[in-house]
Amino acid sequence: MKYFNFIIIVGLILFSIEKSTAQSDMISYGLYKTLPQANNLNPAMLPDYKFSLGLPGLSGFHINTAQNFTNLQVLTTADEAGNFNTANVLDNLKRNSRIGSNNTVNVFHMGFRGLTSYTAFSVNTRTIARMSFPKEFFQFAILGNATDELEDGLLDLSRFSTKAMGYTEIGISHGREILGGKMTAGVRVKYLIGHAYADLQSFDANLRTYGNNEFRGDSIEMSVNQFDIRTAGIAGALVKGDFQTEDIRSSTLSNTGFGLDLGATYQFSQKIKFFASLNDLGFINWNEQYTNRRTVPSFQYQFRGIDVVELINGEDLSVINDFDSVVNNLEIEETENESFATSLTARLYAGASYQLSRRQTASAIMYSEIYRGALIPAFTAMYNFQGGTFFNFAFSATMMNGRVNNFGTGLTLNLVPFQIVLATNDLLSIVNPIKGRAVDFRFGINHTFGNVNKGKSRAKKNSDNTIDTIDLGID
Amino acid sequence: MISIAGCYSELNDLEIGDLQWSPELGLPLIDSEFTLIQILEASPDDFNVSTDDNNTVVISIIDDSIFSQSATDFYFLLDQSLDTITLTLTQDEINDFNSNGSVTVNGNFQLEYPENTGKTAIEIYEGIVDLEIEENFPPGVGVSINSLIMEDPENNPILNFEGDVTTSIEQSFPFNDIGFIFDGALSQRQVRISVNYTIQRTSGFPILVFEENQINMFNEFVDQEFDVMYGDLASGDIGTNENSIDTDFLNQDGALGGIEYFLEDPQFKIIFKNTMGTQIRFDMDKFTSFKDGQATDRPINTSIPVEASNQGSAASSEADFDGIFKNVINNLPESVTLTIGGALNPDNDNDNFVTRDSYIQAGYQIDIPLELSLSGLEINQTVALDGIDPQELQYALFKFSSENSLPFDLNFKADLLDADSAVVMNLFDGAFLAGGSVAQPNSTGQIIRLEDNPETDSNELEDLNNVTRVGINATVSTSNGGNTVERINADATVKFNLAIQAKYNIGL
Repeated sequence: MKYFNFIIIVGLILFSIEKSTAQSDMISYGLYKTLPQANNLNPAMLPDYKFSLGLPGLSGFHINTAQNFTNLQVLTTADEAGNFNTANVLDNLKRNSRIGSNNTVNVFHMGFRGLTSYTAFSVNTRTIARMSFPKEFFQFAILGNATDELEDGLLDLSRFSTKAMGYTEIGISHGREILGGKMTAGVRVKYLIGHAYADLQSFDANLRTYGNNEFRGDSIEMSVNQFDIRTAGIAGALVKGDFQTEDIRSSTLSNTGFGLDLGATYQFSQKIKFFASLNDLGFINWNEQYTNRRTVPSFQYQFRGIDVVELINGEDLSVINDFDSVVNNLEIEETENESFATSLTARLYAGASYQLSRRQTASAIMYSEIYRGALIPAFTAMYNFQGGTFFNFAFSATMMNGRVNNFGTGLTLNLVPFQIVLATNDLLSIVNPIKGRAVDFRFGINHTFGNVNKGKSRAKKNSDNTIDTIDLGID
Repeated sequence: MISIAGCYSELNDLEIGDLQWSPELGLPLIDSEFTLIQILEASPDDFNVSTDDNNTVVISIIDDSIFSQSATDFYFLLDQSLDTITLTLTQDEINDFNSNGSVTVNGNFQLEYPENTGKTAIEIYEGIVDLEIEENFPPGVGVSINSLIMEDPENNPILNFEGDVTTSIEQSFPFNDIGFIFDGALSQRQVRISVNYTIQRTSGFPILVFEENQINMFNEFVDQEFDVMYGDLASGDIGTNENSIDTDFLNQDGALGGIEYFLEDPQFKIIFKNTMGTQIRFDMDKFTSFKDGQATDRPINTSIPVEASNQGSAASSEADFDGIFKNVINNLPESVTLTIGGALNPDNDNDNFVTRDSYIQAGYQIDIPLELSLSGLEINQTVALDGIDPQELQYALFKFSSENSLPFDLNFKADLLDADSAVVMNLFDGAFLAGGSVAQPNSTGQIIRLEDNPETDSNELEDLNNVTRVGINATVSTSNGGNTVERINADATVKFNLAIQAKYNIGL
């Protein structure tokens, strides 16, 4: 019955939530006991190794690029006439179509496992990019401004946004058991070095074609509210046209900030454990050397047609003069060398696991990301099989990027004295690239030593011969 | 693994079809709102547009000078000859010559500038003095004029001569800016002459005898142009030919069709101007209108006096002939002429003046408040449609809308034309827009759909293949078929909008 209820809850969650393009790393969450880098996701999750080391060039990487609106099958499906099927492409578009990319290079990692704690030092370089644009944008381009698909002739671009950032995080984390081992809590403090930043802030524009159901095209009005384009670091230097290598290097090392990851687990019962983590709370202060902010002021322009009287008289057309006036009077304010701070994109993982057997676990994990005030969720159901520290395998089904059949898998294989990690959060894109919407892949080699469970097991046996947790293979 | 391999092998077979899509585009083409004043001001015709106290549009045609004549056309200076000056030697001067072989003599003379036409004074702007000198001294005697100076009473120079005289010489001397006063002292109308000459023996030993030899000097003023003349100026007739009046302002080149109108309150004003110091009388003779080869005279028979002007200013006089002009203009003439006569100094006053620059001039002003009935006004315009490929159109919607607060009924017709101006398709015919008012404009709208209907054989768009232009015809009239007189408010407008919605096939 417990199994049944658990499956029902997970199923309801999976099917009741809107599709998303969240850039989660669920499969690493499932491999946390043998994957040292999983500690980056939740510092309260303590790996089994007594000591782990990831060296530059070997420690690995995780690339993730995804979108939620098309795939090769959609793009290559022909219509009845054998032409590119634009209708099919449009049908697959979401209200908000998104492209996102999260890439991490694990530069260095070193972790120490105590009997009830874990302390790690890590250096990661990350790039994050997001772009979101409304469905109407493609409808406008493909179906035209007079199509019925645009509600009341409105192309609303206010949902368009983009943001890109690159930085390096140097973190130290510590997690330990509390409440007599029923709970673990962890924290990672990260010193951040920003390299590049660009975003489009508060973009709010629309293009409306006036008319009604009978006829549309009476007039066209463009309205743009004030918005900012910000760049900093290398991106700011490129905008400024300053390519002095030394200056850029010094600038990109002096954009500093701090970040925080928090995590906790709670052993609710012998078989059920809850866990949660909140990642990437923090900010980067972009120094003034290469910051650039361009503020585009509000402007409106309405085109109602040309004046035939002016045309007949050979005069300059006022509609063109008006447009020239709007463009020429557009005083784009450029502010340079003014530092600003940007927050990281906070992410939340929360879930529960159920111990199916000594080596098998089922988990449900919810992931959400707050981007531009919007909650971007993903949900995962995961199966995990762990054979000590030697072998760990996870398989997940995630509702992500607009699909519920988004499978992930990964494994760690310990070939003493190093460990190989292979994982993907989007198995479908690998096994069936025609229907894939993402590229997600993790690979790395870690050096791992010891197994804390062996020590615990002996300690427990030596104390009172109980086996409360020993057989579970988890903390 | 087999399944995965199968999926990857499918990648080799992927093909992206031809990119072709059919957007529906809506675009406003024309958005015009204009008052009649804007249209009239934009036209190249030579008339002014304004409003009267009732905010009625008024067309004004002004011609300052349908004829103009200068004072020099009527008045001039006659050639004048001065009395002959005879220079003879005294006995002492002869004795001096006979004993010394030479003698030098001075002489001063005042000769009256002749004037017998009643003028009290003249100032001569320019002229010529023809000088002739004769001598009859025996051979071996030379005559040299050392200095011959001629001046007016104010010592303004007329001529200055020096040279030898052998028997006779003739020479002309231009002069400028001299003057004489005839109703004052004698000296004010005299030419002053001073002469210094030498008689000397040049060969042999000639002996002079008293009163046998002399020098004669003749002076004549010719080709004189007056600057000012005062006094009794002659009377004379002014005769002008027929002067054309511009009355075809609504349809100068016939582009507006067979226009017919009735103007409720046209106004004609004649304006005379006189800068001469003598009274002028203008005789308004008649209007003559020409229509269908027939000339019709409409007598005026009115004299208009214009007072003499003060020097440096102008006198003017004007008169209205609205009633007779209304008859003339509403006969829809092809052209109109005005015949004017008159007289200079009709009362024969003897206290006048004229200057070299003074003149008389006649002009007119026609004011036409647009309170009228109108019919037959037809406007034709064509607009090029190059670049349209109807083969790629699935359908096209043309939306026409208009709002009219002018008191004119408008009938629109639009045809699609080929390169030879043949009608390919009628877009609409008889789109009627009734006249309105500023307070209550009338509006109309129409949507025309052209479609390639795949469910039928009908393809209206095929007809567009040869279309190169769209021809627009608009006929304009006041209400009741042009029989009602309407007043055109300056604020009345016509709004006109045209927009297109079309579905177009695009392929890459």
